[in-house]
Amino acid sequence: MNEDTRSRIENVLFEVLEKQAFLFGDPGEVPDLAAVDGYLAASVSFAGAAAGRVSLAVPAPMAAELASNFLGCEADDPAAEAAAADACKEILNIVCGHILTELYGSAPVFDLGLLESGPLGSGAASDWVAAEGGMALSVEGSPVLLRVDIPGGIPPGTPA
Amino acid sequence: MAYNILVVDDSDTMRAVIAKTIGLAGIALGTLFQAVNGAEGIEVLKREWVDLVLADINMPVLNGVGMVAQMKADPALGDIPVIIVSTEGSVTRLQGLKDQGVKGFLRKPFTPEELKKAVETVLGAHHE
Repeated sequence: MNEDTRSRIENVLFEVLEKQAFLFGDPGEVPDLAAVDGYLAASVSFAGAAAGRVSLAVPAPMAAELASNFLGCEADDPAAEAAAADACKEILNIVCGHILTELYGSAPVFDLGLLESGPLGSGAASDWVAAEGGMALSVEGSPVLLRVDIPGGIPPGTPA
Repeated sequence: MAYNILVVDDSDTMRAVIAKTIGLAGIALGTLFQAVNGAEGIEVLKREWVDLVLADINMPVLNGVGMVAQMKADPALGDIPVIIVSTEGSVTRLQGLKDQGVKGFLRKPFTPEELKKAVETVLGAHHE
């Protein structure tokens, strides 16, 4: 993935997190991935003009914060903790839709698969980032991982 | 006038967000009904008076596209206005839904103001 594409995808994630969850990204240095106890990951496949998968992993406390900001309650509220995985999946759902538009434009039709979620150990975080479509970003001082896997390759330029 | 609104989305969190946003937008709400997929949404529509449906597209069992098709095929449900609330960015798909009779679109993420504008546009036109 070239730098321009990486930057556009990064902007998509930042904009969605800011508008939907009131969490703000920082384009600066990414905090140490291994300093996080564990991540909550969500993943969704897509098919259509191209096929692939988009995945997102956030530190477990941030997943609860996502849910609390969605629901308008405190992060330590049991309702927020219970909704953490669902909130993470929903953010990914939105991010995926916007990434596909960013990469392929608004003409193609894509079908998304069902959203999945599960834990991701700190040890696996570096593997995510090292993947072709992987990246780590700084959000509210914590690392957030995003991975775009497209077997045919990620389109390099802005769609016509 | 208060409106009975049905929210159809498989995400508990997103249904809660939409419910909260309806309140923040100042939309006069009668009863808020919820369904986790299109099939459940159809069941609600068959037994309750609903003025407006806010439906996601990507859902298990019966997605939003299928739900709209079933509504339009049923004379009792075909006139209920539907706003699609989804991450969909394909103008091709949105045009197809418009051709099916969908009245409005709202792309996630959205603000209370954007929701209010979409609802007012659809319900205003619907009652003219």
